[in-house]
Amino acid sequence: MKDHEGIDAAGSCPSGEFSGESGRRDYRMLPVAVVVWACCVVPKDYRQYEVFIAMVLAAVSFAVSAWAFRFRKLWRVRGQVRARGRARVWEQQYSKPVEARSGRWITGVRTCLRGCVRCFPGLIVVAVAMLCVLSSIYLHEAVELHDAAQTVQGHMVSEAQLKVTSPATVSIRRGSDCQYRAVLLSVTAEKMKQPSHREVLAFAKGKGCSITPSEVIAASGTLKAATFGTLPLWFEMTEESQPTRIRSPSLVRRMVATMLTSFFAVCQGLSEQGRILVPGVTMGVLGSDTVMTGLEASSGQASSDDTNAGKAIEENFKNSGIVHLLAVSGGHFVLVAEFLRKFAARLRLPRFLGALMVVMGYAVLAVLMYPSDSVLRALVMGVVGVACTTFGRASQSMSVLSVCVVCSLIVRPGLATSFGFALSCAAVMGILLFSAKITKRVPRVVPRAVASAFAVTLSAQIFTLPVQMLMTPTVPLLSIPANLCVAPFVSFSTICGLLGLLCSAVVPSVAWILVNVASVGTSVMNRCAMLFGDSSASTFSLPVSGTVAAVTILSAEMIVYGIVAFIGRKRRVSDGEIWSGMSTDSGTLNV
Amino acid sequence: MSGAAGVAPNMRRTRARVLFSPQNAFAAILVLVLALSASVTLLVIQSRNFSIDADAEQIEAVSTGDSRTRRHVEKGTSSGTGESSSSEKPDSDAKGQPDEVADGTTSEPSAADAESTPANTQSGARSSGQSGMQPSGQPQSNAQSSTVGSDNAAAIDSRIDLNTATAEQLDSVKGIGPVTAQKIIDYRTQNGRFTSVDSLLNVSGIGMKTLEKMRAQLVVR
Repeated sequence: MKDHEGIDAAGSCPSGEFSGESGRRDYRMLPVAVVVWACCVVPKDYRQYEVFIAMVLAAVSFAVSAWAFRFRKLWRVRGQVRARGRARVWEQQYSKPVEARSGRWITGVRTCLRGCVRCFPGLIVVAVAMLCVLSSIYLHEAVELHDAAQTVQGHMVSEAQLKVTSPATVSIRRGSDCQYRAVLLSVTAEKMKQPSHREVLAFAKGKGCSITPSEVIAASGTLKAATFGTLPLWFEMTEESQPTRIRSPSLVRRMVATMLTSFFAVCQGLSEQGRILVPGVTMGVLGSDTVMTGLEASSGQASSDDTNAGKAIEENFKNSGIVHLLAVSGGHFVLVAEFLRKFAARLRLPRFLGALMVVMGYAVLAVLMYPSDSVLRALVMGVVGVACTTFGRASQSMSVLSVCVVCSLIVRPGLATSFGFALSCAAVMGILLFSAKITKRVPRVVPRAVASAFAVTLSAQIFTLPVQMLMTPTVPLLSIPANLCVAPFVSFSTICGLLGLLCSAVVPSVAWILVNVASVGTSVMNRCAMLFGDSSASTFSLPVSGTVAAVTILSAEMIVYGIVAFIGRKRRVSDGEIWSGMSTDSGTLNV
Repeated sequence: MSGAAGVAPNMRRTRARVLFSPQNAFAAILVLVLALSASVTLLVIQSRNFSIDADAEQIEAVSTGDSRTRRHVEKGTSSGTGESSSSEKPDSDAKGQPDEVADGTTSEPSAADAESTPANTQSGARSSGQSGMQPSGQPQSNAQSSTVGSDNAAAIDSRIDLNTATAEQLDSVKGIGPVTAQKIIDYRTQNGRFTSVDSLLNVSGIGMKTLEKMRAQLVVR
């Protein structure tokens, strides 16, 4: 019996065969996710080629797979292999080196053909994914093209009805007090009212900042194309514009607004760094960026005069490479999920009820947090993972991430150009691919917790650095030691902040204690950021920017990876873990 | 040879799973099609909301006798009102032309408001799906449109062009005083031509209510 003999064109291994595949490392959907993302970011001019390639790929793959399926019996193992004989077959097959096996070239050709045929089902999936995402992109563009906002863009709008979708934060542009995300419901220009459904970033002043998410307001202003940022349209309200409420916010949103207002009020009693960082670690928005709004506020004003301090702190966090702590990510959702799972296990609840509790916990957390694309990624991935484990599937994080990316991009192709979504996905992918391997390579003298924190930081940086280069071509050189220093304080600061947020409206005294405890952790983070980020040696600026910088960093990482892999292989060969010259059919290098 | 207990190193499951079987491929394709269906469903719901809003406008127009909205309905706004708006403003590159087209359209309602009767309004509202700026094909409406046309000429001539008016001419507009007139002149000097009457909202001291009062007296050519 020869190598790979018996593995049929269907790709599955009949009894008695050994493929060496690990069920815990399911990367089948990863190429699909990469291709789908690439389709979304390719310029419009090249889309017709993508459609052509996808259709040809699908047709060829389907035809070849159908032909190979017809001859599947030729690829099977001849005869049944019993349990007793199976071990002997394995031993006979794999006990001798490759050179001693059949050297007929036809065997190699058959092996290659077999391998190619096994690839075609995957190619069909890739082709279908391309067609699906391209269809979605074309549909979205067609709807946007006929949207009224496209027509009145650049013009004054006498009345625009907007549904607010995020709380107000301090404006990044001069001339406005605050900004918030909203969805245009209608625009009225030249006495013509036209429905719309475009997401915009609204800039307002004074009482225009007194908004609550989910309420519908009417205001006048100018609709214009965005010059930077994720959202393509900006709506600048005029100075005299007094937004009028058309529809009140929902009950849930009013409760959340009350909770947030109470939480910010409690945080006002903290030190400067506590006022700024505790809301950041808890909800993903710095205290200096919040705007006191809500039903109780008569006018929207910045809740703090710490704007300059907030900018300095954020700059230090960026330079030291720990700015990700100020964004809500999967870590928050993991904490909530772990707590609820243990609680459900303690109550001996059925699996379905426990999963339902976790999903509800995710939903509550997503509502409390400031909306962002990283929160969306964490929410979708968390829900998909819970659904899979509820139905008895093994935990497959890479597969869940890939499915999350594919489904998110098909439903909302605009997410492909969102840096928050990209950084979140890149960090998770890096951790899933390399964290365990790096932890194994760390010398045993290093404590396990430190090794784990080091591995998580390094593996996340591998994939997030190229994405960061697209934003700013600055490499934080001291991010690893900075992350190691703050790692012990992140979880308990987050937990205390979340608990403080939940009870701030009900028991402010308890919330006060909790946010003070969280402030202790944030003070350590602030110190570390100042130590590692407030010096000239903390960053390295590349002479290039944009795509060139990203490709440069990616190339450097691949060179380093190749060197490390080569050194690792040499070491393992010398240790005798693998046979020198042996083909890696099942004993593949695990670098 | 090192390895797990009783397992040769070359028999350890270390290879990542990257190849699909036909069954798994079918399941993956099913997931992709479901995601695409969800995307299409959301877009259809959006478009349906467009239609509902447009129909609500029609019903509101019928009940209030607003002939401007009647004309809006006659152009056919069943879906994607960008089509109707694009028929009004054919090309945004030529800034002067869309405003003139818009003026032509807005001039008709202002005169038609005075002339139309509720019966004609209802008949015009019911004749949906017609494209273009023409009123409905009923003889009564045609006679009224000719009457409207002759009154339009007089209405257009009396309005003041924001881009060429002097301060004295602007002062003569009800709702604009000498100070506001000067502010309008200063805004025009600093920022260039007005692209629409709504641009007056950018001038300090002019709000929505003020604009609505004097809109009928102003035009942008």
